[in-house]
Amino acid sequence: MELYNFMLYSWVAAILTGFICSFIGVIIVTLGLSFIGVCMSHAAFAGALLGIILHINPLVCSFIFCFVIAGILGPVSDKSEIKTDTSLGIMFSSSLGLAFLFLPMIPGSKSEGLKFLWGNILTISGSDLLLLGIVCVITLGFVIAFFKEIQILIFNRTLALASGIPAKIIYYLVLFLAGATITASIKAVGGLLVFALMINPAAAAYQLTYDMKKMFLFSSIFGILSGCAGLFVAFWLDIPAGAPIALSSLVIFTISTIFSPKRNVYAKPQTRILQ
Amino acid sequence: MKSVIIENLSFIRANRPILENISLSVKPGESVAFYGSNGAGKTTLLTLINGLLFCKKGRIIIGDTILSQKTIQQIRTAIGYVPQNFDVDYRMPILSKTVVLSGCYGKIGLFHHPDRCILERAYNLMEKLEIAHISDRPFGQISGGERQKIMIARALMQDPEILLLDEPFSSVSETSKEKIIEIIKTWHKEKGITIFLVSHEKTAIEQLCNRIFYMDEGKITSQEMIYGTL
Repeated sequence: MELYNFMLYSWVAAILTGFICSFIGVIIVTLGLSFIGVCMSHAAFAGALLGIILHINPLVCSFIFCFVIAGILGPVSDKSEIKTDTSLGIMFSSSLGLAFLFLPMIPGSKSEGLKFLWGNILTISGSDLLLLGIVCVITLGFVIAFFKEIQILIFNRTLALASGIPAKIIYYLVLFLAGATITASIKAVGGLLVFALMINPAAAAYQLTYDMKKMFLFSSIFGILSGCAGLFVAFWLDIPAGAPIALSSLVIFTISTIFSPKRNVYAKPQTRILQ
Repeated sequence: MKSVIIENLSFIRANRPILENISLSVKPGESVAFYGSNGAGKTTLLTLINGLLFCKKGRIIIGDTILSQKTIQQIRTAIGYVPQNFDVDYRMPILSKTVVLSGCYGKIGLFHHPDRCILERAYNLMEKLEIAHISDRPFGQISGGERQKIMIARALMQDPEILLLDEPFSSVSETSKEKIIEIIKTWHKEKGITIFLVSHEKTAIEQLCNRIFYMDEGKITSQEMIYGTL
């Protein structure tokens, strides 16, 4: 029975993590914020380490760290004269600095802390799945409720604002949800590889369509496929699941790029000259 | 329809004065143009009227509302805005019809979707502007002139009381320009909207506007009435 639970939890975690990361990944990739995955995952890692040091639930601390990063990132890019990727770079280096500061402060073995960097889908508990499920429902609900606003945000933030859409609030909510997704997924795939699951399926879907609804659908399918294929390989070869999950998503991206219909339909040289 | 009053407006960016002591008054339903050399501050002035930027000195009164960060949301949906032609990533996954429809998203509000009537209005507008055939093409994949027409359709979908046009004819052909002018004229006649036009094309200004403000180095240097246009 225990073996059955452990197997079931792992598969459910692979499906949920694959779905949620790739789903929010569509917005992140189309907004040109791909680097946010690296930045947030390292913030989540630093938060988890602080949690271990202070004997607080590491996931709670990860959430707080990600939310702080999201809370700083939006206003900093809006109000200062620097581009979003520059502010992401600053946040990333600060998070990494904090992680390196906290890691030696963990008493005894560092493996408790490092598991948040590599992740282990086989150690997922019922409460971790519950957290993933809640984040999935909130993110899905958010995208369904604000789909039309999200599209225009991706098109142009200034024009979204000019049309009377609360573009700033929706943009900040996207950042918060990205943080929540990374924190909920960090235990399953780790702080380093969650980035791959966020970007690769969305980038693969980007190769196949210009329709946002289809992009969300394809990306979710690719994410779930990556999670399941990676877990299958992990069981088969008896290795940690994070790496095969990330590599599966890379294989899907490569196939999508090779067979991308965009190469034949829109990306003809004469069309590009017009740009 | 709404009047626009600007009182002693100055705007500084990076320690450089962009606009200096601008004062003007535009009546509801009036159509005015800002004309001047590059860097005269015309686009900045439109952006300030649109509430995408805020000034520290002077004020803008739209209708009976003084424009500020607190009040802008109340009147934003009343202002339609056609920006200057801007660069877009050709891979962007947003269809042209989505951009046109987005004009009315602020008015229909969150959690609501465009109904059949709105969809028909969008299609008719695109037909009039001869862009219906590109409605399913990604915005990044269409030509500069087509983008300009999409942006005009988007602004008109907003059903604005004030229409801000920033170089709307810069990429369109002569025939298209005539068509756009005709559509805006009809819109102005039927709905009595207030129009602000920034353009370097004197002929277009003369066809569309009844007053020109000449601008140079952030100041209004003079103004001229045009009779017998709209």
